[in-house]
Amino acid sequence: MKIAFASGKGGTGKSTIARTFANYIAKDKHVSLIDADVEEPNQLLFFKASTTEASKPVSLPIPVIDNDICSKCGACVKFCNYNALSLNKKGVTVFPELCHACGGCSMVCPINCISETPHEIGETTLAHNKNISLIQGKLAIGSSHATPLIEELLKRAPQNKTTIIDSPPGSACSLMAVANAVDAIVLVAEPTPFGLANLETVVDVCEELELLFGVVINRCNMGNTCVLDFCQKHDIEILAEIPWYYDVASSCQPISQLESHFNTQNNPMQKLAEAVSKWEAEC
Amino acid sequence: MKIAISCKGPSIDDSFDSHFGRASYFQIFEDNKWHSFDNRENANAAQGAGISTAQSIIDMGVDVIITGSLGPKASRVIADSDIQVFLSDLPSIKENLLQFAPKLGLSITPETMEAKK
Ligand code: SF4
Ligand code: SF4
Repeated sequence: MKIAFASGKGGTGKSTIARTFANYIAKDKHVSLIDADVEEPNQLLFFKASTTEASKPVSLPIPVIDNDICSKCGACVKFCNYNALSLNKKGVTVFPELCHACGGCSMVCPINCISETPHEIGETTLAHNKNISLIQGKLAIGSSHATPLIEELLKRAPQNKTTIIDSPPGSACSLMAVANAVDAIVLVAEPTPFGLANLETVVDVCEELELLFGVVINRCNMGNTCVLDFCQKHDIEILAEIPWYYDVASSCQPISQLESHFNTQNNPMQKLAEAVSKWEAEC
Repeated sequence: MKIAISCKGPSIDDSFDSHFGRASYFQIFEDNKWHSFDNRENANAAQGAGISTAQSIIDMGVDVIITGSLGPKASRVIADSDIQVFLSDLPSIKENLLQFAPKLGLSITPETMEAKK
């Protein structure tokens, strides 16, 4: 089963919870953890890898114009919806950082003087530690092509029975790229009015896409009851509640520190795992 | 000689816009006459506003641009043309024309500019 951890904004604890949950599952089976927060991936920072494979580039096919034969008709510039081409008396200039690799310009060129070359938009890195395989996507500096990078990252991820995806924050295109590839989404939210406003945006996305989803309230001993009330009113399942701890917030190893607060009587990850098993049965 | 000045509105009395690609209008001065160019479609582009604005300016056959700043992409488009660029921070369109006219060998006074509006 593929489960994404998402949130309407950054800093809700989505990555921490995704990794903590991966650790919990990895106690008795293999799990793939995908860091799809490609603009700022950080799972590798907290991952003691026993092996790390060489990073592999991800590229898009970008047009190359043969300006020696280009007739300067401007058809390609007119066609491009992304303003990735410009024409002056020297010929056509391509702006690879704006090109969406749709291939349209080479189709409309009347004299076929447009070919394509790979343009690197980022890379993926695979690392292993015992039962966890972590794959991370990292967007190249200056590139804005998060969506195609995430799509390729998800293709390259090792196939395991359980795959946990640390989704990019927000409810825009990069979340869509993840949402299209998963069976269920865990929405991580903080119990504050701001947290609720951000949660509502991702709940809208999940409902629109008719996805299985539930909410984890992080830092549940702070703020107010607005997120709880919202979930009750909209019949959204609260999968787990995780308190805020001073020592976790101030730790350089927040995940092991957080885990040290859990015991057999009280483990939010166990509750989450039970909810996921129920989803698995439904799927 | 065709001069394009980035502007916040359709009239030459609207204020100078220091942005190039995101300027809503350009005031075009040619043969002692003004007309305005509606740049809103380019300015509102999700991406590449500078490139598409520069493309429109080139397609119009402009010789001189007066604006506040030119981004790196728009600069690349303009660099391969013969267009001269002046960067300015004067608040009104007319002041800008008066300021740069001598450098372009044009003799323009506030009166001639008014009369041919
Ligand atoms: S491939 Fe598509 S997006 Fe890229 S330059 Fe050509 S038309 Fe524009
Ligand atoms: S469509 Fe082809 S020939 Fe026309 S301007 Fe573009 S590259 Fe040149």
